[in-house]
Amino acid sequence: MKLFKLIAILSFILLLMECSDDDDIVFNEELVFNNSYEIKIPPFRYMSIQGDSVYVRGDLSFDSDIIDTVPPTPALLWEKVESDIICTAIFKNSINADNHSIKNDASDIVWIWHSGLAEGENGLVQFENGIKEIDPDNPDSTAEPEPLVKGKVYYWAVWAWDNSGLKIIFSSRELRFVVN
Amino acid sequence: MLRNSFILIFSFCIVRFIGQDYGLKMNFKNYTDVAHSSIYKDSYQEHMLQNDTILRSYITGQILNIFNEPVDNVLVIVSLSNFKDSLYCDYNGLFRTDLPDEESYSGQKINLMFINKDYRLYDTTFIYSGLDNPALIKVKLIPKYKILVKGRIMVGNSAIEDVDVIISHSDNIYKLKTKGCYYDDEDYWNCLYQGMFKYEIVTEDPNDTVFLHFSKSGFKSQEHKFKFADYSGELVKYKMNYADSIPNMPLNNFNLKLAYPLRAESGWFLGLSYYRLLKIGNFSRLAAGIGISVLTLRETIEQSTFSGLESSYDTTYVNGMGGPSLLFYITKPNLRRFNTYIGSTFAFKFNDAEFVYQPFAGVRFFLDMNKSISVDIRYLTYHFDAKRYRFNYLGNADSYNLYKSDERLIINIGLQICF
Repeated sequence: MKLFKLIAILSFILLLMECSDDDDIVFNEELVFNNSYEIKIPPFRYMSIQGDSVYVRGDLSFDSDIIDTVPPTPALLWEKVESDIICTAIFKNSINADNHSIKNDASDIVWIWHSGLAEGENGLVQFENGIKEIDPDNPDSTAEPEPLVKGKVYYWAVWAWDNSGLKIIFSSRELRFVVN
Repeated sequence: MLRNSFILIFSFCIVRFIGQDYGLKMNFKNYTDVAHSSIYKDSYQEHMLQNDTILRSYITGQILNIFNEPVDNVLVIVSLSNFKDSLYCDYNGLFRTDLPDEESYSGQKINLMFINKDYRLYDTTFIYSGLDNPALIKVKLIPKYKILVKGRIMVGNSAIEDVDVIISHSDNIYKLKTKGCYYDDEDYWNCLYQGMFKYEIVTEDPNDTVFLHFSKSGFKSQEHKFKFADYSGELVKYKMNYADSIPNMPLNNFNLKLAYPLRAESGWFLGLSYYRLLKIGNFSRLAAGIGISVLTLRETIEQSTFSGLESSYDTTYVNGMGGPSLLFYITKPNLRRFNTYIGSTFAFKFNDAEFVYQPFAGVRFFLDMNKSISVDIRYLTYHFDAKRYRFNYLGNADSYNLYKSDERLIINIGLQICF
């Protein structure tokens, strides 16, 4: 009888091992990755290198007709999430993503930061902390980013993986700003 | 005959009554207690003779034990000249036998014998003195030693029923069996007395030895002994041991095996198998059957994400396989301990029909008549599609399959049920 109990317990453990923690993720079509937890981007204010005070509305600007204005080297801020693998990027064009991946061409990315870089932290990244692009053949390359083009509209978002790096479990809304 | 040098003081009453309606009144006083078995003499008698003209003689008395309690159901045998009579005393221990009419019993030998299974035999002879002084014979019997031998026979923590128990004492041999479970009067399944036996033994000498002999098929016979005087009256537990071999080897056996392979990348192994022993003439060491096994494989893969960020992921694979199996007993299959065997399962994997060869060798130990614990060492190798991932910095990792082999040496523990 004890043997059968042991088998039942083992089966239960194996069943639990098959269950993942992200089963309770709620579908949210506003996020870049619909099946992920939300990364909130609160309104924030910072001083630019030129000494100007910059106000970014964050998630409040989502679906708004009024676009935030930022300097050519903007800082990005979001609410810190429990993940070690985080990435944020600024795109030239609107972000096109499905549940699996962002489909934009790599050339759309004009600036990118990830948690493997030396500078910047989960939740607050300065423009100079990021790099221009990621070269899959040379992941250690740290090409310095170029300032954004004035008068142009850019799109940005932040997303993060589970600890295995296999699946994105956090993502923000796609936000946009114009460079002044 | 006077036995055992008992000092006997007695008064024997042969009363010759004259007349038909005589009554007798007797008072007993001043007797002397001379031994644990004795007859007491009445020194005072009073006759009340009435109108009886016929002479009658009789012997009467009372039987007591050493605690002065009347003893009933005692067989009294009276022998006198050519007269012989036997009778039982009543519940007060009283007895009486009438003697045939004769002129006189003076000078004749009279033999009295008192027999009861719980008391020592009392046998005495004396010569009638010739005095017609009627008296009551008082006899004190010495009880024998009596014990109720109680025992319970166990194997491990389980009581065994139907064990042949032979209790021998002196020339007596008593055969009985240990009790089993039964439905009691209230229709409950009662196992309170399972494996127990009891028997009452009587002896005259407390230094006598009682021998116990236990035997049952599949168990080693046992003998025990104790002295009457040493027996405390408590239930004695006896442990029997299994014999070295199973008396009737079952042909079928069902196995359940469980293992955690001794490797870093590993998983559980669960095996079910059925074997039937093949009897080919006198050769009965080969068994054929079927085996089904399920095994899991858990892999931890390190992978690179962004530069400077390493991660890892776990994947568990479950593979099932089954097929015919052959087993050969190196030792005789009915040996209880260190019953060794080798064999092989020729299995097919269920998901891709790959042929898998699983040679194994093992040892089994019987727990009782039909249950055993086995320890196997089993080798198996098979192929499977391992899932791998490629990090994608713009989304979920891309997956692909990698054809991989898993080679294992599994030590598993199993439970076998033979039937």
